[in-house]
Amino acid sequence: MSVATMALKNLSRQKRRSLLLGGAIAFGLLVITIVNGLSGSLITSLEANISNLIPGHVILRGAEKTSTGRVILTLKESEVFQTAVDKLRVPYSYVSKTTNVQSVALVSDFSTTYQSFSGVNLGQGTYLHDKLTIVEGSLDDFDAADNIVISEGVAKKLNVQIGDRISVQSETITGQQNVVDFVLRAIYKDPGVAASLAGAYAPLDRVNALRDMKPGEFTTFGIYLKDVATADQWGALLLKDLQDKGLPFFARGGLQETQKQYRDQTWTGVKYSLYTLNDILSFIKGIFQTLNLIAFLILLVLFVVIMVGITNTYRMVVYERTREIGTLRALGMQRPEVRNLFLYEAVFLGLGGIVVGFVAGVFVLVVVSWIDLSAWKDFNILLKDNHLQLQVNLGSFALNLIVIAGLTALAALFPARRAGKLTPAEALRTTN
Amino acid sequence: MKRFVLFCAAFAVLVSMTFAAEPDFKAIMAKIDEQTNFKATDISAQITVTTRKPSVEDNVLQAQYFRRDTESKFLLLILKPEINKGQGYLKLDSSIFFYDPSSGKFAKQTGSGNFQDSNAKNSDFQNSTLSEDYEISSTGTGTLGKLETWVLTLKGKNNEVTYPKQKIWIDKSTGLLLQSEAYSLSDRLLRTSLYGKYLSVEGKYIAQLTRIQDMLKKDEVTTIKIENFSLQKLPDTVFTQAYLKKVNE
Repeated sequence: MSVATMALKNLSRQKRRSLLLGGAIAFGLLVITIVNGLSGSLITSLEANISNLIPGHVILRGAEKTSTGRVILTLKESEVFQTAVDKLRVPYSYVSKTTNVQSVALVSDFSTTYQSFSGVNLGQGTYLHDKLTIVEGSLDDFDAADNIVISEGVAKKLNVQIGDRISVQSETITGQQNVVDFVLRAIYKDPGVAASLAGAYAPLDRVNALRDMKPGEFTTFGIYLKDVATADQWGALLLKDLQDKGLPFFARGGLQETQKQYRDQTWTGVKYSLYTLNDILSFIKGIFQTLNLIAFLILLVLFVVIMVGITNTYRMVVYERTREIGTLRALGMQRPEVRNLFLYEAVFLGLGGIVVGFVAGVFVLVVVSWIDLSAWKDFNILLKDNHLQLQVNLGSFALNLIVIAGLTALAALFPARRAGKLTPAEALRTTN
Repeated sequence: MKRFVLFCAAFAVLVSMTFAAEPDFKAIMAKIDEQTNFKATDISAQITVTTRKPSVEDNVLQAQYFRRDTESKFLLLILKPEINKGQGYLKLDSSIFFYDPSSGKFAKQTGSGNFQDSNAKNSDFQNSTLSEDYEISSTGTGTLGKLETWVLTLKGKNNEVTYPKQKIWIDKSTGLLLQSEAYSLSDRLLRTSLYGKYLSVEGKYIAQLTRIQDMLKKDEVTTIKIENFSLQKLPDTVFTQAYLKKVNE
């Protein structure tokens, strides 16, 4: 009989003890699997949903500064960007040209609300046409007239229905007051907490008219990548390529950092900025990463307690089995084999707990992912089709597996070595 | 022939009389600026901005107001409500900075931006620059209540003025601004402002009450009341970012 088989048999001999120790390990892993799964699910949904609300995964903007210090966002041509994208063979699904306004007043006959506003192409085959979930109205022939699409929440605030007029008040790019009327053509599904990011959409040239920009101009060139996880990588490559072509760029950073540079710097002509989805989500991602780190630290504390338990338990086990060790040694079992017998026991116990904890954690995540959370409207942005996404991080599982198995073996090492050092005569003389 | 000469002479007299009666509207517009701008001294006052919007309680905001017209500067320090206390607006040259004590940071705003949640614009608190910013595109006369007025339609001289077009009513007897209509670039009437209760101080005037009716957002009205007016010289440090930070310490 091999040492490993003997270790397994020993575990089954003391079922209650094995169940309690293995259960503690399983509970720790259950917690970490659920926390990792939920935070991963929320980040993935957030990335996917925010992508629908911003002009791309990699975003390029241009800005001019007038002699009076006013910053005018403008991109008059996109060929240079499109050429760079094609040259680098960036794997994208869509590109977009948009005119974005941070805040406009949407005014109906009954109420007023303030939202971000984007001039876009919403025709067939565009990103927003494919991704916005329209709950009322339609996007057919959207770009042909003075149409506007708003979210459910905004429609409710304004008390408007399809076909109603909405006046949009904003500043022109040079700071003059302007108003353009639109007709409500479609209402899209409310993104909950990110409603302020969502805003309203209208055909590019109509928004340009509101901003006193020429037809065809835009403020933002966006690239929607096939794999959103590669946004930073392609962003860095594009930036380098465009800088090599002599285009002046602001230092990389998030939106707020770019705003600061607009304020502090003086330049002539158009100066560009590039940022990615991760720049926008860095704050939220940081929260989830902190949550994961806290969960991992709690797990470590839990395992320190469990390790102390394992060490004590195995000291007892070695004490209880001293005569048995003596018999085995007398029958020819060598010292390393005796030590390994206890180490195998501990590792098997750890592995059993890990597998059970992981399976239980996945089961809980599956059940949670079946729950319809459509009533959880404010947090739609964190959901996919009204459900939490099932996400199991196998890499994280593998790491936990190695760490916990190692820690369990380490906890049992001291009593196991002690067992290995016992001489047969000494062990057999014991009267336990 | 004699009759023709007489006719021509009469026509010439009539034409010259007509032109002689036509006032100098540029001068009238310049007089508005001249009468309401305090070039010899600073001004300080307490202002109350009350905004009425449908279905919500009136929003009343009190602020200390400092203005130096020689350098086109102003500082507004909000005193009430408690939630906005310490926030401030500082105009230096063509820039307006908004200070929020909760973040300790300044944010650049435009004159065209809304003052807090009211229907007033940030530019409403600066000195009058009508003749600098606008040219007259048409003139006329009218009455406002019992007052005889000149009615001027103004067009922005550049594309950075808050309103590209304005129509103003000027009291013929005093040369003071009584009413203005502000239009968008798309020529939509955005708001009507009434200026009243002019206070005369050392030959200058300040409207103690301004009523701004938003013509786009239904039933939204903002009134600006100016009280405790003073012409005392202010220290230069008042018109600095450091002052806004210091008063919040």
